[in-house]
Amino acid sequence: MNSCENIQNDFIPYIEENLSESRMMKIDGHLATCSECAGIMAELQLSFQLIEDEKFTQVHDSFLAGIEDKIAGENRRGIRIHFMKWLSYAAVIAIGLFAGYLISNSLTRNFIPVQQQISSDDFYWNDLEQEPIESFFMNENLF
Amino acid sequence: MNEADFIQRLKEHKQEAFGQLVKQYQKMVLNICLGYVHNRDDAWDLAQDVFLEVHSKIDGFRSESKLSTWIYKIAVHKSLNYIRDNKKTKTTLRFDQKGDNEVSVLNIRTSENLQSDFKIENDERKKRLDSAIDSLPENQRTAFVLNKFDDNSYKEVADIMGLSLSSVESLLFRAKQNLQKKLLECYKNLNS
Repeated sequence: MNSCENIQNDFIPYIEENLSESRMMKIDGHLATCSECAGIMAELQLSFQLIEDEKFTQVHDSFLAGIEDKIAGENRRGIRIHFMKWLSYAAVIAIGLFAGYLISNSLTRNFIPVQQQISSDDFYWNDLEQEPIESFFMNENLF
Repeated sequence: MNEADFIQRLKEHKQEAFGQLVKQYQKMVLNICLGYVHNRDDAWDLAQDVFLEVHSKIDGFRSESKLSTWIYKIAVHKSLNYIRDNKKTKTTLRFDQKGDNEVSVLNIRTSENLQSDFKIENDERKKRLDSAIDSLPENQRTAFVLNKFDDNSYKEVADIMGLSLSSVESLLFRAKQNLQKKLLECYKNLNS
């Protein structure tokens, strides 16, 4: 490993001032004489400065207000979804009832009352009404 | 008030407890999101969504980890999802603009005229830095973001990530070495 590579390995700890004093001084000495390493170090320092410039150090109250708005929006959406769910259940029940009504109506229309058939054939279920049992036994032709 | 009581108040959906939670962790969440998405506006929106998720899922938090660890995991998860979804959008946009070369060239020239040389240099510098941070493995990246963006000490990073101090020291050492290597390669390529 040449001297430049050896120095460059400690560039980030150098920027963070996380080296021993003797190592810091050694790197300072190298940077004063090596323009290539000095250029790279300057570039690295500018890059790390970008993080410092960009990061959030203080947060405005509008951040919390924005979250509360989003929560309120979500709640409204939740209520709407809940309402739509019950509305869809009600619609299914209404459609079912209406379909049931239509089916029962069509069956009634094609239904021929049983009484009419009986009356047309003169068929009696209760024979005793036509001929009481006493007159049946008194009938001479029977024996 | 200890953390268990605080979590209980959050589960009871006490508004002032939630406000306190946001105040306590907003900087950490914003900086984690920023470290992943590299844009302050996107990080702002994303961090708000992180707290929205915290609010909706607090009932399911079983205190198996610290509250800060749970929140940091949600923030990282949401940031990674955002990057994944945004990559798809960016690809679509590029594809859509392919046929309109004249407009693109015109736009670039106009923006070049408007921007100062320093701004352009800084934008390039930022792109290189963002790309180097993005190339880090997830754990190294999060430890680096918590340390450099959110100014947490190694001990604080260990607490937030739910790791031992020695693990975090090792993660941060490797993260900085990897970052240094990537950036030095970039600078050498630029100079050659």
